[in-house]
Amino acid sequence: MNFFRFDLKKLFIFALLILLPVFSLSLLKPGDRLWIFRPLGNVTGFVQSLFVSFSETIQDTTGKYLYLIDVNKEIASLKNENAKLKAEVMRFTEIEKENTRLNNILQFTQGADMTLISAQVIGIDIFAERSSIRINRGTKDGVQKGQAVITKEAAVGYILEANDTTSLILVLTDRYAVIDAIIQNSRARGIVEGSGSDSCLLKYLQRSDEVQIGDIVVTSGLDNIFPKGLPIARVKNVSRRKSEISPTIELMPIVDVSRLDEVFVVHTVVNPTAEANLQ
Amino acid sequence: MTENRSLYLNILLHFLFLWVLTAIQSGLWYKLLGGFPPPFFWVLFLSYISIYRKAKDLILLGIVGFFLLMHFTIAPYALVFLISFILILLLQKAKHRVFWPGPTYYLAASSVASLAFIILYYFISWSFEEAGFAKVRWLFLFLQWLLTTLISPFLYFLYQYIDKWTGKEQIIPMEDML
Repeated sequence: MNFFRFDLKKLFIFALLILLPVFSLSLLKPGDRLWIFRPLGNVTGFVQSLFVSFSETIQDTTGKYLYLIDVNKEIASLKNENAKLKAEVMRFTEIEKENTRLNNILQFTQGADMTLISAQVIGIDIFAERSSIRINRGTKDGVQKGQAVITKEAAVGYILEANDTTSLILVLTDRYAVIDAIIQNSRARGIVEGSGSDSCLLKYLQRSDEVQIGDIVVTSGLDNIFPKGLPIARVKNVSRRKSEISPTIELMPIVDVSRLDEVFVVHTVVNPTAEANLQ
Repeated sequence: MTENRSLYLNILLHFLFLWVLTAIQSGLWYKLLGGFPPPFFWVLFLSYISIYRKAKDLILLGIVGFFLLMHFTIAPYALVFLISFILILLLQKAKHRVFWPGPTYYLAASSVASLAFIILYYFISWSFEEAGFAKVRWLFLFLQWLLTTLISPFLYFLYQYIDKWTGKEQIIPMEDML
């Protein structure tokens, strides 16, 4: 019966092994996966997921790096913008200060009952012991020798020399500067003389004249240079010696010469009493 | 360049440089630092020309510089002229006694000169001027002297640069001095 002398049992098993997958493949619906591939699929899936997570990590790192580059660029741009804005703010602050200063000058010149020429200080004396300043106004602007120079607060000095475009001012602290003055409270009269540094002296008062530390000394107006009543200095020290006719009075000028920036030359005085306007 | 042209160019450049320095001392320094003492550039200029100039050049530069200086101060002409003249003589005498080339000599000379200038100024002013000074600002004068001394080496190189550029000699023989 067994014509080809085949081992039927083996043949059957072999056929089964061949046919079973073929049969099962034919039974698969589209989209179904063969069971034999499942373990391989799991391994592949694991490897693939590893690759995916690796690629995600790379993408993430690259993204972060690119983001950081962008952030750095943004920071640089913001810093630049910030510097520009700071410069702008500083400029505006300067403009505001300038505006306030000019406004004050305008208010002062309008309400001063004097024709004033505003001027800027452009230089001081190169000798420490002499007190003179140079301003940027001269005869072309109406400045003349002997005119009084004041600030909003007090007297500064008077014009010593007037050129075309600049003028030299002898400041009241110079030892050659003299101003006729009175003490505001007691009305005692004397002469303010510079002492060659940042202070001055009140001389030729009578022994009986009342002087207190802190008293304000104002211009008397008798020298025909300064309008009457301009503050000059405060009394800093009073010393009375029996041998001297008049007391030695040291004054502290109200104006600090080393900080002067803007001054006014008194061109003409409408109302000779400036005391009321300056207080 | 002829010798005369070189001399005039040198004088012109030193004059302009002194002008700039004195304007800085009078204006810019005051605007920026208020009452803080500035270095005294006139003394530095005087020291330099006293040490490194022949008599003829020294007189020319000294007179030109003096007229420029007086534009920046109300100090009496005679007083400043007298002090400057004494200072030049002192520096020339000192150079006869001791001299070595280089910026250190200029530094030492400037230091002594600026101190001598202050002393001479106060002494002559006190002796001859009608309105004597009542106060001396010691701290101010000390700081001014210190700054003048400290700044002298820098100025030495700038002066040397002007001299080299205009072809002027740097060390002069003793017999050509005052």
